[in-house]
Amino acid sequence: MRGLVVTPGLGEPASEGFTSVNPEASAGAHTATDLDAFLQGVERRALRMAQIATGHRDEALDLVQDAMLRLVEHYAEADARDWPALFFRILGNAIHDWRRRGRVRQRFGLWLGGNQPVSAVDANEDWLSTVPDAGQGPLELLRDRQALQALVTALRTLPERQQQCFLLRAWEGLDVSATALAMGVSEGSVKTHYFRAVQRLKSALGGHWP
Amino acid sequence: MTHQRLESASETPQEAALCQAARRLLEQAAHDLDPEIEQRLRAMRLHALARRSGPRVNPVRHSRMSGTTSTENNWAAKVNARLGLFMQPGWQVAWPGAAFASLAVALLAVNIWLAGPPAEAPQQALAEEELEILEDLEFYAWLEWQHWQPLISAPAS
Repeated sequence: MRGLVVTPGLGEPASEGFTSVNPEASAGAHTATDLDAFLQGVERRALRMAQIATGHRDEALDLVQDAMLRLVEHYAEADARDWPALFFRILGNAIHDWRRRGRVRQRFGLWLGGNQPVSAVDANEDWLSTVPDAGQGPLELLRDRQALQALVTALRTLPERQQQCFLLRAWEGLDVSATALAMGVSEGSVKTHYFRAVQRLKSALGGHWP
Repeated sequence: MTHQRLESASETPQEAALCQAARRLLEQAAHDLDPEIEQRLRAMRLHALARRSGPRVNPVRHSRMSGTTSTENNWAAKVNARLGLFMQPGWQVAWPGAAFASLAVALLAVNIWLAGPPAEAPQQALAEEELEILEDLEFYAWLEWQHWQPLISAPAS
C-alpha cells in the first residue's frame, strides 16, 4: 500500500491528526521527530479506541504502549505513509489478543469457581462524562455527554471487526484499502463490516441521535 | 495525510450525519485527557522512541562505516578502525570472541589428554581397602575359632 488516500470532498478536516511527517522522509530515512509527530498525532485516538474496545483504562494504556513499541521496533524504517495502517493493525492485533486472553482467563476462572467476568468495564470510565466544554451551553454539554455515552455503549455492542472498521474509517479517516491493511482483511470485507456497523449503530442509537 | 470523514456513495444523509456526529463526539473525548494520562502517553512515546535509538545503534560499526566523530574517543572504535573488524553483519560481529573461546577449550582438552590420569592414587586406595578386608577376615576367623574351640576341646563323655 502506498499512501492513505481519503475520499476527496466528502467532509471536513479533523481537528487534529498526523500531518507533520516530512514528505521527503517518506521513502525510509525517518528521523525520531517524524515518528514522534506520528505517535503524538494518533496516541489519543488510539487510547480511546482501546478504551472502547476493552473498557479498561490501564489495559488500554498497556495496549497502546505495546503498539508504539512494536511500531518503532519493527516499522520505523517503513514508508511513513503506511504508519497509520501499520500502527492500527498492531493495536487491533493487541486488542484481539487481549480479548482472547480474557476469554481464556474467564474460562479458567469459571472452572476455579470465580464468578467475575474478566472483561467487565472498570471504574475508570469517567471520560464518558467529561466531554470538554467547547463554548457550549449547559444543555448542549449535557446532550453531548449523553450522546457520547450512548455512542460508546452502542459501539461496545458491535462485533469486534465491525467496531474496529467503524472507528478506523469514520473516526481515524482511513480509506478502504488502508482499513483493509489495518484489519488484515479484504477491501470487500471492510465495506461489509462498515455497512453493517453503521446499520447496527443506526438502529441502536435511534433516529434522533445525537 | 489529512483526516477527512469518509462515506460511501451508498450512505444515506441520516447515516452520514450519524458518522459525522460520532466523529465529533469521539474527537472531543480524545482531545480531553487527564493530565496524568497525557503524561503517561508522553512517557510511553518517549520510551518507545528511545527503544528505537537504543539497541539498533552500534557505535563501533557506525563510526567505522560513516566516519562520524561521535565515538572518536572510544577505544573500541580506534581498535576497530585499525583492524577493520566489525564490518560484517550482526551474526559475524562476534567471531573473534568465539574463536578465542574455541581455542581455549581446545587447549584445555589437549592439556588434559596429554597429562593422562593420575596413576598412583587409585592403587594406594585399593591397597588400603584390601588391608582392611584382610583384617576383617582374620577377626571373623578368630571369632569362629572362639565359638568352636570349647566344643572341640571338651572331653567326650
